[in-house]
Amino acid sequence: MTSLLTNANLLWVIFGTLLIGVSAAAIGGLAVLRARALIGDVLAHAAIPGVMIGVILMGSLSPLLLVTFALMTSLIAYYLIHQLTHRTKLRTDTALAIILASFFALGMLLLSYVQAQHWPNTAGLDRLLFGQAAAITRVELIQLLLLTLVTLVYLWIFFPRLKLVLFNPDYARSLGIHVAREEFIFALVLVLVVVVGMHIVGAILMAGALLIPITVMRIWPLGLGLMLTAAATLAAIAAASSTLLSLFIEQSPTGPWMIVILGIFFILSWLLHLVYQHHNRSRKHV
Amino acid sequence: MYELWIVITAALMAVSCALVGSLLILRRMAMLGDAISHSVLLGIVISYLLFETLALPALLLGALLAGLVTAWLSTAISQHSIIQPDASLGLVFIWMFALALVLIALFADHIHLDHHHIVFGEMAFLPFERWQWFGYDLGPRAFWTALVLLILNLSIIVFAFDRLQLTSFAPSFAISLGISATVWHYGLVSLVSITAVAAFDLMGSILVVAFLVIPGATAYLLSQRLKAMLWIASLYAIAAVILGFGLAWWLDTALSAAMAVMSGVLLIITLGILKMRAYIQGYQVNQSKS
Repeated sequence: MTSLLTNANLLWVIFGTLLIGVSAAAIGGLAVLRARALIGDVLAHAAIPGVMIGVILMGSLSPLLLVTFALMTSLIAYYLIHQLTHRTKLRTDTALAIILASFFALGMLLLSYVQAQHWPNTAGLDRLLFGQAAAITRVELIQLLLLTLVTLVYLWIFFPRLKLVLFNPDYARSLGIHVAREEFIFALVLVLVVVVGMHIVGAILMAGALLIPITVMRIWPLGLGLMLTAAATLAAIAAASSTLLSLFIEQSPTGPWMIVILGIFFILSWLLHLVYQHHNRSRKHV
Repeated sequence: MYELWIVITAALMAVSCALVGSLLILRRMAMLGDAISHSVLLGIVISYLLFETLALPALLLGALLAGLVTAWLSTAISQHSIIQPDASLGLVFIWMFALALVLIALFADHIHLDHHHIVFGEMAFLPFERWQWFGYDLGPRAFWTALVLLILNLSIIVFAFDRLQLTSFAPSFAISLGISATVWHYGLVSLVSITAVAAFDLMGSILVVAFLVIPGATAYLLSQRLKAMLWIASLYAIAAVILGFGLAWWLDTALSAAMAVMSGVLLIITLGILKMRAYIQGYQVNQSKS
């Protein structure tokens, strides 16, 4: 056990899950509060055709290359959701579901095409897509984590402006802020976090890491900054404890533990709020 | 002949999905199909751990229960708290999926979960599993499952059309008439999860997720009335199945993925035509003004 704790690799793993958890909670919180709760789920699925196109065009499975291609299709998906909701009478949830289903179907079509061709070097593809990319090397992990660190710094610096652009675009425009550009940078960072996290913890769990922390805090009436900070803190606690859990219990994966712990946080938060409401109501009647 | 069975069975399933999917879109629950496709894993894992068997009926029962729990629990959370419906749906299905992964890692590390079967289904092989009755060959078993499912969906929608319509568009008015919007809401989400789980086994999750939303959304763009929307959605679903079969034949790929892609292509074509028509109409108006 002590040898595991002093292992240098372990430090990287804890550091990595912490960073991914915190940045996902922070940027996901902003996306979720804009009534796009399942955006992470959609973007993660939309990355799959990108990965497949990368494999077909380049014929290699190098993570950085695939991240680049995945980034492109996810960005296209984000743009299409925006267009579908603004230019047609479809609502946000329908637009999200359409984009998810079409991109995922396209990805699966390409996957079955690639597998029918029996190309060399594509053996690990199935595992990569369905989120068991535990075979990632340390150098790649470090590269991916650097990207995540950039995200956090971006959020930290641009938070006041971002708040305006996301929640009151008309006012932001009147102040002379280039809304379309800011919106694009936000989308880019969001997609980056999803694609990077997807390679480390898996697609669906990444969607959970974006959605659940803010949902836990959403129950309580807090300001935006405080809510995001609290969500990020929860995510950090969940990330650290899930890493330790997966260490103490043999063969258990980190990502799923993190989501399970966050879900328990939600149940506690909801119950606490019910008690709080009940308490307040009974006090009012007196 | 085998090809015909595949196309007919897929078309029946696709129409079932398109019908209930159209009703989901009107209630802003379009993501329910995707959600159920993930959360059924928990049901499958728990029923495997309880009964220690990989027999199909037990797993299907588990999957069905998990689908129902997803639909009910997410509705309950969003109705009793400030959380938006889509956020509560995401919370429930992602949590169930993660719990299933943890359970697999802890207790069932040795079972082999076939991603390929779950996502793509085994549509190309369905004509070979025949249904025998006193020595007569009655055709593929999947065909009969799909037919029963479609009849179930159709009869519920036909008999309860007015109530479904009223509770979809004007829930408060429905309540004032004494119709329980909640009961019909839970009824519809239950119908969706029954349809989805039955279709997963035959068609793979990708086809179900696509056909629950895309034909309905295309029809939503084109129609003003619910009845017309349901008809158009069914026609689009059948067209996507036939075109997808052709695409899979041509590229030698998985049938279910090709059909799902074709439904998306049909949506894009429809959107293009609508935009073009709007553009030409606007052009004519401008011409007549000047």
